[in-house]
Amino acid sequence: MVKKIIFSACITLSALAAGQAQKISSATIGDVAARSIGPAVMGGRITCIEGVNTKPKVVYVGAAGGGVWKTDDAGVSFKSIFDKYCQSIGDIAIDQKHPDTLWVGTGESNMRNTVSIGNGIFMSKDGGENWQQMGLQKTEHISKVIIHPGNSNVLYVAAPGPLWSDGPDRGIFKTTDGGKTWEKIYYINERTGCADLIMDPRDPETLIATMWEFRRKPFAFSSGGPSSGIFKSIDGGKTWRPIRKGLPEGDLGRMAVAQAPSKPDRLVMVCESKETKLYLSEDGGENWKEQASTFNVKARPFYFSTLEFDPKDANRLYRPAFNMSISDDGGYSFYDAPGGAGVHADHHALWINPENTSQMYLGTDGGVYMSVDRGNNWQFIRCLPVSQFYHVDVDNQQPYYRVYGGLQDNGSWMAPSQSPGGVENSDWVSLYGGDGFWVVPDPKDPNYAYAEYQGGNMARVNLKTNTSRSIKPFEEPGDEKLRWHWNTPLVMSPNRKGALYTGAQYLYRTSNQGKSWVKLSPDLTTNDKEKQKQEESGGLSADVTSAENHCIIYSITESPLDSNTIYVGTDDGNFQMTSDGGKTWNNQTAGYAAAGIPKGTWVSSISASVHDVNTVFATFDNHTYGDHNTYAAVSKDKGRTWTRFTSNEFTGFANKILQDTENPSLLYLGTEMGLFMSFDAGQSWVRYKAEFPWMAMVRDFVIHPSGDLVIATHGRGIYIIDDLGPLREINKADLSQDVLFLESREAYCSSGRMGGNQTWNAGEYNGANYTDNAVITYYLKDRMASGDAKIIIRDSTGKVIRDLPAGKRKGINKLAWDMRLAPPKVPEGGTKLSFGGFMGPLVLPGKYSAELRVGNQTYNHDFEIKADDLVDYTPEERKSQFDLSMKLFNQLEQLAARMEEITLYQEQADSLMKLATDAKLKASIKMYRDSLENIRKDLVPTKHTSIFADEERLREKIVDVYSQVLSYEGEPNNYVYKRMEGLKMEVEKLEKRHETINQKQLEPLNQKLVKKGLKPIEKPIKEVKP
Amino acid sequence: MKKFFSLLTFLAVVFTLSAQTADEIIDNHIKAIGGAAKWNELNSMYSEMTTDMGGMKIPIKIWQQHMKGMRVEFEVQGMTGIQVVTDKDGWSLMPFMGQTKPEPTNEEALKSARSQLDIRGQLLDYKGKGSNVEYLGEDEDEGVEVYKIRLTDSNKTETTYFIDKESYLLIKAVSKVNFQGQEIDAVTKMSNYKDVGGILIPHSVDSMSTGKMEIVKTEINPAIAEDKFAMPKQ
Repeated sequence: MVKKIIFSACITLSALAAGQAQKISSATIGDVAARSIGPAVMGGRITCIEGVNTKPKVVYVGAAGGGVWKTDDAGVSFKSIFDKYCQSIGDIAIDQKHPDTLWVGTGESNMRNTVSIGNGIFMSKDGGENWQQMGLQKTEHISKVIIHPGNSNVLYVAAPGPLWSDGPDRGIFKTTDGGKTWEKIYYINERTGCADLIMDPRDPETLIATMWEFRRKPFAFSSGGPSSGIFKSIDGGKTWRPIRKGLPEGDLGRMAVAQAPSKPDRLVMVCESKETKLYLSEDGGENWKEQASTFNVKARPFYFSTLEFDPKDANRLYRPAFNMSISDDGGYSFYDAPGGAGVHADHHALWINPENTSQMYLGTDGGVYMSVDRGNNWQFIRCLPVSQFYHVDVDNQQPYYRVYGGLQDNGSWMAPSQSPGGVENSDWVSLYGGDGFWVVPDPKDPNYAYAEYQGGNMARVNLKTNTSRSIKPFEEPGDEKLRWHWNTPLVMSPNRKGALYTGAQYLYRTSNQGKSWVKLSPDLTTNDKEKQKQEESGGLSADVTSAENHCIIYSITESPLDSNTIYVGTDDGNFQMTSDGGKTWNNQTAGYAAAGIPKGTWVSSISASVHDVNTVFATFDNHTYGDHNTYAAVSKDKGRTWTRFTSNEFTGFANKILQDTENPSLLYLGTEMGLFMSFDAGQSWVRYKAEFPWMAMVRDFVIHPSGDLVIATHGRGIYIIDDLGPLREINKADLSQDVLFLESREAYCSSGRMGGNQTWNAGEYNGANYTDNAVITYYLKDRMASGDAKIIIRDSTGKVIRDLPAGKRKGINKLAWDMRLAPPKVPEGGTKLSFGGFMGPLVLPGKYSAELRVGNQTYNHDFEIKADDLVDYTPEERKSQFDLSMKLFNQLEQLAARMEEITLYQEQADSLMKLATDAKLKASIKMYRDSLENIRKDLVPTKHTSIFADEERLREKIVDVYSQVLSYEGEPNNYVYKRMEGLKMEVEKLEKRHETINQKQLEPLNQKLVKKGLKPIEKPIKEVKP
Repeated sequence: MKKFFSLLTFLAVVFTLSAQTADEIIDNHIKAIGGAAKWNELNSMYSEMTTDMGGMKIPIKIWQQHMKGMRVEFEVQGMTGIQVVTDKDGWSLMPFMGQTKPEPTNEEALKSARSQLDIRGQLLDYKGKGSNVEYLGEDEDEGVEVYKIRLTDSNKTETTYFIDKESYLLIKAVSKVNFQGQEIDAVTKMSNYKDVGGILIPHSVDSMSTGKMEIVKTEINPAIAEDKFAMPKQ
């Protein structure tokens, strides 16, 4: 059988060799992984929270852009369980009878301007380990999933349906076969979907649904219409009848409804109408009575659609909305929850533990909070990195830099790219309020950055004093009213250091920190007045927040190769270019339209090539017209003509494209559902999956000069792909070879610049640092199924100084070497470990080579370790430290060898002891053996075992000095040399003692042994290691 | 009792569909590693391996008697740590932090460790051992196309096996280790299969707890004295 496998493997290999060259796939990227740096100091929008009733420490959280997270310790820690799937979550339902079965409806239903879309419903039978897609892909938004309590195969799904287009994929869906097939059991029309659905706890055949007519356009929102209504079914959804008694006449909007589990006749509803109000019913929804209520209860009904009764107390009702309102009389009156301070506004989800109703979890636009006293006081959960970035930027510091970005409803922030102990919540610093978007550091002064909040409210922020100066331009005489985008561009000029661009309908640039602005263009948009009636937006309830402002500049890029070439894209589809610094503008919209990209498409990003002045890349986003295709393209003639990139891999509308700054064939594309890379200038694309959510909402990224890709996701915070070097090289490499070395970022000889400050931050998110070690990068064509993989490090003389077990994965492997020699062999045979002896000396800067052994083959690669330029010592001082540490290293090894020898002498003595019969001889052997043992007792601890009981012996004394010398790579302290002299004498004395024992005791003993016909004790021959 | 049997029947029905596919994959896997007959002859095993701890090579020795006991010894700076699990009990002697006497291992930790007593592998004759399997479908693991099979043993410990679609060799196993009510995923990767007396045994094992281990010596069916697993008397 084995032979057969080997034979078939040979055939496969030769077939591969004969075939085409290896294609780069997601697997090729291998170990070039992304790391998350959070933040979790603020959260992102939470859309749903569900717990397991019988095991309430298990809670699932669904995020607007962050997928699904699970805790099994009541919220102390969370893990992401939906990394391979769509990150926009609508609702989670747990089959409480089989709590490992859960359903996730994707596509959030808080229908704000920036809401993302889903791709159907998913099911897991093992608590979220494995998932299956179970249909309803076209619904785009799912607001509720309800599992029949008596039959796990029966489920109801409420789908508002697509937000940006009319269509039939909405309404109420039902499955009776566990999701294999779905029937649309209630449907009104192409504009009306199901906003809310409840099941009567007494009778699962009784359902109440609120149907909602709604629609968004790029420039307007409309909530409500004649088709909205509330409907009831008593036959499991076969038939529905409207219930309207007591409800207002005319058009209705979004309605949230709740039923008291402990008194199911009691229902409460927030009903959006011309005048949004609260309604109560005491007869199962047949008759409704209007009830006066507070602002918060009725606030923003299209956005706040949560109402929850206490599971045990029908008088206790929670209305999470703008803030939290609580009623203790079944909805008759409300009060604002005490302890609201410190809780983020905008609440969308509430789960109350039915076994202990004082414990609850609240989902807001800023993350999850937990209460153990019915919402009086809240604790923020600080380990959920679901923040929603719009944009990201970096400064030019090296090797570590600052990362800046703006967040949905959570302001603007900055953090270091690396930090001692990892990038923690406390490393994140808030810069500016409101909704944050672009944050741009001032390249001229690291103490300043530009930030903004929605509607173009931009400011220059002093990072030292936390003060800011507003720099939003005003209309000049003759200008039309300035139109400011929700997400107004703030873009630094690559050529004019410190000059900043922004855009309303006109393009502006400032070269004096916003003190004055130069208008560089006429209105660059279509200026379609029909798309500028935002004051009428909202539908039944006015909702004017700048979110619908339209006909505005959205993307700006100045060519890094020509300061007069500037590209501008607008949200109404204009692509404009000037090559004379703004004197004349060319509208090149027809150019991209000719490449198959719909005209009028939002120009979501533009990036001008750093390699060729005529080349420019752009992404186009048409989702606001219901078109979710990925549109990304390149122009080689400054935007006149375009070639569209296509790939079967693409999912989601396109947000950002960038050409690599080193390798012109390497392109990065971020979409609403994933990060993609092309290694052949856009001919083919692969999805990036290395420790990165496969369908993350990638909104922006930037390449730091050190060669990192820093990625802003709208729901999973910031990710960094450290060292793009191997990816920059791989398209030029011959991947048909079995093994290849690739370049890694230069390594600096350092014992760890980041240190390891412990901050005792249990329960908080902690983003990883990139390694400070020397990285050896190699490519394997296939996973190594047979043989060992090992890397042997040699110094410049060819001496082997370390061997390391190496990775065997297919694609790029990275191996980090801590630049240390293997630890010394320390004297053994004691009762305690010598912890200081676990570390080898740090090598000197210089040339090294790595020999990769894979099976029987070897591959060699030379590399250099550079001197760390951040240190405060000279190369000579570094050399004396190394020499001294080697002296101590050798001294320890010398003693270890002596101890080993002594042990071998003792072993011979022990064997002879068994053979000897003469009492006198036995006594002599014992005396000899004990003398040797006394040496051991002076060399290593033999009395104590506790780590809290010091027993300083010679080994410990040397290791103490060794550890001190190793702790700093500069000149060792003066007294170290003196101490070493003393220790050297002690070592010599000990060795002398051994020799004396050999002469004075062993020689006479051996004579006695020979006399008795026994073998004398001989000098042990050291085993030679292969 | 009757209830118990009807539950079994129910489970059998539920798993029939997926188990057919799972069985085919498991059969092919067993064939690929030497066949059931050969594996059923395996009663004991002794292996020596090393792992690397910051450049320090840690030698490890393992004695295993099928379904009876396992003894692991490893050496750091001349001090030896011992961990033993048997079908009845378990103990350890870890002198590194001052422990001087062997200490019994708590039952919870033993529960998941016991699955390792089955040196023929949990997949071989899983039904006879009272385990259930479920085919989880195809997947990709670090660029290798795999079949995923979840096995739930009679202790209700779950392990997901990743079987290379091409060679039918096991490349990864993820066990749910339950400790103090918390579930921890224990991931083990296997490669470098070598023929030892007609059966294929991975000689590179990479696990979270021990790092990358290279097996330098494997003996099959050595005689192991019974007291190898007994806790030394004080």
